[in-house]
Amino acid sequence: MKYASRIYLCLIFGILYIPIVTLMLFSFNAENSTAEFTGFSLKWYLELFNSPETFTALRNTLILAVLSALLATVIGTLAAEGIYRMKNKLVKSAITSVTNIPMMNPDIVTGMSMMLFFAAVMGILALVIPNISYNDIGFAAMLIAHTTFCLPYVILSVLPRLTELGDTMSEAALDLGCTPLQAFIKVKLPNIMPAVLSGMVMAFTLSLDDFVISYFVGPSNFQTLPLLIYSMTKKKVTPDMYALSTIIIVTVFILLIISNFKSDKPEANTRKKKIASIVSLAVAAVLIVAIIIGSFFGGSVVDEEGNVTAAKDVIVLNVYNWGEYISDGFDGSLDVNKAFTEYFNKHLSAKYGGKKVEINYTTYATNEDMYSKLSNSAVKYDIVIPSDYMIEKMIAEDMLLAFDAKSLPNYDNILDEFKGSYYDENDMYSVPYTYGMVGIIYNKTMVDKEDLGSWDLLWNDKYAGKILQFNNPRDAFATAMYLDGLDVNSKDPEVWNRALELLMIQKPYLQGYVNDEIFNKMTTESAAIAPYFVGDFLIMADQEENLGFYFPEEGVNYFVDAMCIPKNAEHPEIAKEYINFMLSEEPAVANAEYIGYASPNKLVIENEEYIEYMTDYAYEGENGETAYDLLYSNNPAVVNKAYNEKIGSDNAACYRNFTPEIQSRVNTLWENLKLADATELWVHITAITIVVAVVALAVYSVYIKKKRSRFYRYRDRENRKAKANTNS
Amino acid sequence: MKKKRSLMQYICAAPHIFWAVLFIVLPLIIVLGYAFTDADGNFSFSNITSLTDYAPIFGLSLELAIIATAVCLFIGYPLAYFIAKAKPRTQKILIMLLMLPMWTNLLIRTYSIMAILDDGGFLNSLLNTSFHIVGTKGAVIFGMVYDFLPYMVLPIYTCISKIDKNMWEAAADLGCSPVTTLVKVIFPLSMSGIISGVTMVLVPSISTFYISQKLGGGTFELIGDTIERQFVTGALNVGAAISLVMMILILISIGIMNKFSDEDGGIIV
Repeated sequence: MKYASRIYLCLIFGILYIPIVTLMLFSFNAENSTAEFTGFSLKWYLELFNSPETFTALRNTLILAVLSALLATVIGTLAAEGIYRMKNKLVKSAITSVTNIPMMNPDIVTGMSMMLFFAAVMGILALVIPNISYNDIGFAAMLIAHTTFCLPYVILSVLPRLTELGDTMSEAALDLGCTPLQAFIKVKLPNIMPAVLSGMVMAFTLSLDDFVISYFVGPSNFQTLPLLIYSMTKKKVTPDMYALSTIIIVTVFILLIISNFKSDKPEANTRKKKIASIVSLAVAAVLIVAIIIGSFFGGSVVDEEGNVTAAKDVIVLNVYNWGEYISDGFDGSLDVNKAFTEYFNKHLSAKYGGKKVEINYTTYATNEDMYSKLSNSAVKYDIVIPSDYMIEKMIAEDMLLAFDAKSLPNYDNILDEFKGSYYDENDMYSVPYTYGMVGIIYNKTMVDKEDLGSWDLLWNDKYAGKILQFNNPRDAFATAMYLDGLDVNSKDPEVWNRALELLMIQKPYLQGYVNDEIFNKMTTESAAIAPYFVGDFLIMADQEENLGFYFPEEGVNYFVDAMCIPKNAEHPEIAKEYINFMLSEEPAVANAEYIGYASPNKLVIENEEYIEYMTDYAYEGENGETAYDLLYSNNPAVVNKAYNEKIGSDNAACYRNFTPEIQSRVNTLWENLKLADATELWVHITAITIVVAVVALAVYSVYIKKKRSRFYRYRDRENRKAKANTNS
Repeated sequence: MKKKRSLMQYICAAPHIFWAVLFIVLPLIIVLGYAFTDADGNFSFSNITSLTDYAPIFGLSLELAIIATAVCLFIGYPLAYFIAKAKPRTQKILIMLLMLPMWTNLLIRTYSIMAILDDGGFLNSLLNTSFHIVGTKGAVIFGMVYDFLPYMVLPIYTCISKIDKNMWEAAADLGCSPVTTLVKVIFPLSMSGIISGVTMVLVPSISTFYISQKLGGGTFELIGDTIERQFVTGALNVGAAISLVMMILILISIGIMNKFSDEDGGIIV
């Protein structure tokens, strides 16, 4: 028995720790991979410490966790005392039930309700304060949301302890002349302190780890660590997140060991325990002090000469961009945002009343994410970078500022063919940032050469189980529509039904529907074929030499991402300066090299360093093309010639904004696709077996209970009879 | 003195009652409002009636969550039992080890599992095999079990370790073998722990969207994914209606479960 229990414990803990140990291992990986360990290196730790984004998120997370835990503890402890004293059973149970709702409810429902609530609050506040933005109340909203879901845990921890303690002590205190308040503070509180503290620790941990509720409620200017990780894992987790997790786990481990430090000798025990608790308190205090100092510096800017500018003279520019879509200083590249702040603070500050600028940079994963953030929660951004069809939609909905892109001094750097695009004909709202096309990525060792060339590779059953598809309706449907020569912007439901049929045929051959997981799956050779964007392909090619790429002959999606200023931006003038800066040679080249997408900027394409960089890039096509050829010699108009002629438009392959009817139609079809063959027989059988077993057990227990109570009744009756007999 | 007490009781609970009404009840009323209106704000049942489309997704989420919970119980109960039977010092260490992985963010843990189990992941490249695990329902269940197992073990462990040691001895004295003691005495007495464990695993498993996104390979959708997608595409009314129904279903099932545990937490087996 003893051995069995040991083996069992080892087995389960072993499995529990495999992912943790693996992530610790890969945090020391020499290369940017979470699947293959190539060598030992500390570079991800260095990268982590050089990343202000991560540090801000860490600081935010800690501040929020400390404050919401404190608030929940104070309110919760008082509430527990109040609930404990309540005599009215009905009121008491009503209050406890309501309190428990956030604990019982799925996070996603709590998050949704909080989001709708704060949207309503914003609606009311906007009537009183005209210029309010969600960012102004964002921190308060997060604090309220976190406190709310922490509260039940504090109450649940304190209430049983109060019941256990009983009233005798506080009654004695009252009899001895204490006021009720004194009795509570001097007598009761010290006795329930352990429960209060454990409630607080619980609240702290919950707040620290929360992702779902923060995801729904979070404002743009307050990113917590889980939110940062989420936006990163949508793309590809770089080992620096693993490094951060390793640091956190090791710190917690050491703290736990210190606080559990215990000697076997009983007399030494109390002293050592005291020392241990003092040490852990000291560590916690140092942590909190560090946060306070950190948050003090967070609000101000230290310029090169070391002068600290007070927070009120700092303009915070909210930039909202795609993940991994700007050169960020990694591996010696130019940190574009930092370069802009330096440039602004040196040269432009005087123009704006001596104010300094600071950039709050946050990221999104899809156009739709960005759109919903912008339209639902009244969040204010100064710069967003949507794609063409989204720009068209946002212009139609009056969400973008007509700042007249032509008026920017550097606008001339944009190539003529990217001016006056169909989504913004007069260049009033947008400045092109990058452009690109979708194509098919394949693994040269796994796919035969004669199968290449067309979209039908994605329908080739020879590679069943090795094919990936986009996990968003628009791009996934488009692959089927290009294959069949259908109009990707069709308003005819029948056309969409036809596309769905094709996707249904394809589904059994797929390994999965994925978005940015493609990076991981293609570079680790988990999959052989995937449709994706050419710029991202180049990043993958850098990591895995066996990958190839082609533009299918039937036509491909061609898109432009452009910089825009939302209508409710707080600093449109500075946003214009930012856009203008992005068009100048150095940052534009740095971005083009970092992102890997084609640049619409003349200075970039003619830049010798850039041409050399792209020509030497770790990619060689089947006919010896370089990365530069892949990006720039495949003119969208030429690639899509057949398709454009067939559909009868110059930009047929570009996505246009859907009408609401088509949008909801596509959503429904997408759900149908996901539902097809979604359940498997074994899932049904297992689930039903479990339910039947549980119900049988419950019925059986009720039956036994009845039987026993019948027996007790019978016994009591017999006893009474016997008693009566003896009495008489 | 009586008067003072009743006053005190309301003063103490007042901030919480205020908080609960404003930040728990009111948001739920707003959800209710959204669920019964259309995009233009007119009263409508269309969101609720359109929910029948989502019944299969609901069913699948429920089934997977039930299986994951059962597996958690099956693995977690012996774990809690063995921990509770260990020496006090060992107990402390084991509980600490159980909690430690939870200090790594759930997202990172799940991602790490994906990186290990993927077709070209760590496991397959180590063994030079090509098991297809990520993208199956089994992988999603594994992810749920892995992420939520401590929620099952902790309440059961607390419950077992609180059982009077005399009970074990009494059972042994009355002729129970260790196994019979476990089945007839310990198991029924730990029922309240089991029920809170089941609740704590079932609820997050039903509503998860991250685990199914990463480990499910996107070939199927769980109800959490559906709500998230509605939120992202701005179809808030339908999202609110789904949330509402999910909430009601969960509260009902929790109510039923609590019915089967007595005041002293014993269901009789």
